[in-house]
Amino acid sequence: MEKTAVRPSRKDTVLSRRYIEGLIADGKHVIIYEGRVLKVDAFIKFHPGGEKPIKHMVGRDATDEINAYVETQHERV
Amino acid sequence: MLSFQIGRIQGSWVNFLPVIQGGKFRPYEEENCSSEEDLTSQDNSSQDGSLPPSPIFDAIDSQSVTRRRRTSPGTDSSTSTPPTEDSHSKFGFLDARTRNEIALDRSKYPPLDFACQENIKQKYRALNQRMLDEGLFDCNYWAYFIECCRYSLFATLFYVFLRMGWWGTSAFWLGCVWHQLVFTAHDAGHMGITHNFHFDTVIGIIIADFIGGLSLGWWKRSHNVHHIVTNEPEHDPDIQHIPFFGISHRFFNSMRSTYYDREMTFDVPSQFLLKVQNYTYYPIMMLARFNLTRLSWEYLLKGQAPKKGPAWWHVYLELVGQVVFWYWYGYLVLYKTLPDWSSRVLFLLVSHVIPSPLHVQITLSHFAMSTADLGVHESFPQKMLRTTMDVDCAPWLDFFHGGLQFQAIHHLYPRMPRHNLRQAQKYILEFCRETEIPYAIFTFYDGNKEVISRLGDVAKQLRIMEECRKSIAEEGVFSHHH
Repeated sequence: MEKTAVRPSRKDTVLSRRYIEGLIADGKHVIIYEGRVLKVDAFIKFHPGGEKPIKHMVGRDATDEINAYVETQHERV
Repeated sequence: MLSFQIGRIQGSWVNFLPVIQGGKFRPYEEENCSSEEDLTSQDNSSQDGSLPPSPIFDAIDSQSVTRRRRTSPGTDSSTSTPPTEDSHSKFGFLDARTRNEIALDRSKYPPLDFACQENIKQKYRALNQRMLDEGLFDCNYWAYFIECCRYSLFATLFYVFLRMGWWGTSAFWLGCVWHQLVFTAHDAGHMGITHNFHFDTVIGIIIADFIGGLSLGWWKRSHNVHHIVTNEPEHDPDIQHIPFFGISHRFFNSMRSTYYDREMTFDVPSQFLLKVQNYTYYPIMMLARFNLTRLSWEYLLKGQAPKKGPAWWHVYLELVGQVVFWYWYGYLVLYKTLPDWSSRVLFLLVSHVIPSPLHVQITLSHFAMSTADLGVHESFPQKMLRTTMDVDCAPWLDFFHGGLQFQAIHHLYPRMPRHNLRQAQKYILEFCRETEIPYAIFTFYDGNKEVISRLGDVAKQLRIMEECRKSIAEEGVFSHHH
């Protein structure tokens, strides 16, 4: 836990795959979306679609899934 | 969502197997992790972890089962040409059947290597943009007006016949209303009408809860998971129907459902019912609505609904909906209008059985499709097309199938309004040609045959397995170690 917190959490820091693996090993819910690393632990309880769909995307690139289900597509037009 | 960003990745991402699916993650240690970096983790976490956790035919010689299975009708002959380069080591603990199914899929679908899947993803995204530009994500409200006219007509017929005292006929039209309305509730649940979360949800709750007596929230909860992990026996609630149906031999082993968080025990009733599942399919489907009522109540009363976030209040509206439904349906119609218990039971049964083509339609799209798990490197579009089939029908019959005939397209683009799916079909065909992903489409009749033959196939596997067990027990042959 303490070791992972050492890393600065600025939004543009490039995080290695191994580091992200460590976050998940610590029990964090981390997903990849359009090249960004999202840590959604604070969000998961608020997800209107429930927790399970997010849990199935932990450690994965969820770009297509998120764009398919979540209201982002239309905002971008 | 983006406020939860903690960083970026460089280059492309290689998926891990999520914890919920059995993935193992190593803690990060600053000193020694920076050097070993990514290569090792790519190999050991994602690929083999994605395999099902337990062997199936533990007590019998799996080879003989496979040989006998191959000779049975309905088994594709191409099973024998699997490109299983890593099978002997990584798949060692898997049973032959699972291995064969994976191999079959791998031979039919594009390779899982990074470049190929990335190409599919890019084409999928480009197609999304193209359809967005052509307005295929814009709702056709005129089409919904026509839908509403149909609903009103059916509802009127229900009411008129009820007044006339034709109980059965009245119940028939009520069943038709429910059958038709569910499609719009489905659209609403996917935000496929106005694309506004709250507005569409309220439409859905009015239809599902107030008029239909079911729970939209329950349905959304399970449906969201179904869309993410389609046709995965341990994860997808839409194929977890033990003790009644099992569409994969993997249910023969008691598996843990990650959706229900409980063991799907393969007990004596399941052993019996699965052996006759191809005969019980239609009769059980006729009564499926009662099960939906049970699941809806379980969801609402056990507090499975979101308590926080934008959806926190839906459960309260749904509970009001249940009260309203049982007031008009239970009290006003069943109790006050119908004269005696026999007509009440008749009305209840007819109104619940008539919407059953819907339940067949829902299961049709997935029951006959693959349940093999190709792991986390498979792209979203390929997985959806591999696990979902479409139904070929004449445009004038679209109302009967309610958009679910384009289930594969719907799985690719879940928020596309239902009435645009037929138009999108030609783009999907083009996409499938370009990416060489087979597009599964059957007529409604053939689709039904596919489902029945899949159910029969699994039933037969179960019989063979039991025979083997029996003969092993009789002859005293002991199974060797794995």
